[in-house]
Amino acid sequence: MRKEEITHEKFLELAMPLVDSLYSTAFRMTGKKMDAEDLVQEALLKAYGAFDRFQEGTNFKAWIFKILVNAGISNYRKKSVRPQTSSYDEFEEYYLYRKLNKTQSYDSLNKFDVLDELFGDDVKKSLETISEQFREIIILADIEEFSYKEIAEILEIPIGTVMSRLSRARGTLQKLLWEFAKENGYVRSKE
Amino acid sequence: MNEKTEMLNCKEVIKKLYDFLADEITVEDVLKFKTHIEKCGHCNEVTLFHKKLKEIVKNSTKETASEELKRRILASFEK
Repeated sequence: MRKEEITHEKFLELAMPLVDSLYSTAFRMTGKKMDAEDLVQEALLKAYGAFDRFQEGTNFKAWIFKILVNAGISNYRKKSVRPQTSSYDEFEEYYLYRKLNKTQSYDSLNKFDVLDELFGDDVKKSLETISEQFREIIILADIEEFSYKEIAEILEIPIGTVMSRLSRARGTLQKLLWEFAKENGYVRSKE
Repeated sequence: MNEKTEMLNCKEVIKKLYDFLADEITVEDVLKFKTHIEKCGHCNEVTLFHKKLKEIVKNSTKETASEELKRRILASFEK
């Protein structure tokens, strides 16, 4: 086999198993099937063009996600007015738990049952509602399970920022989940 | 008490919880964390709650690429 054929084979061998993950992330970020498909194709072509700069032995998934995120930025970032800002509270990421602790639920559902009730649609809707910056970091950390270090590389931000942004993102997501739980009557607040 | 067997208190456990769930703490801290939650019902519950919440977020929106997209991608790499 010629050298370029080997490169070609190798690229597809690494990239094809990641197509579902890439598509899933692109879909969550754009909300549209066609945009997501275009974004994945664009990212793959860019990655292939830059494949000689990929260092073997390093994390290919993080590398290609960085390309996907960069390819996506110009598109989806335009739609975002500005990153959501909220006051930062050290224990914000425990919002839902703390609220549920202070709450009576119907039919004596415990905290864990409330999570079961929230399953699926409410989480999906909440993820769609938070800012793109927050959604992006939750997808990378909790869905694609990248490490803090990998996320720092993908988003080109310091690890400290990854951690504080994640914590704010989780807090914001949990506030929405709490609202859904109240709206749907899984809990009633004593407050 | 040497450092390895030193216990974490509840506040430290809660502070490290998300890092623990993300597998971002040292092996020693994982041990200390587990030792603490085995004995502390409250921290155990907080840990299980957030572990479950994380799983629910992870499983909330699984999208898969269509066969058509995969076929198109492969076609675009045909020489």
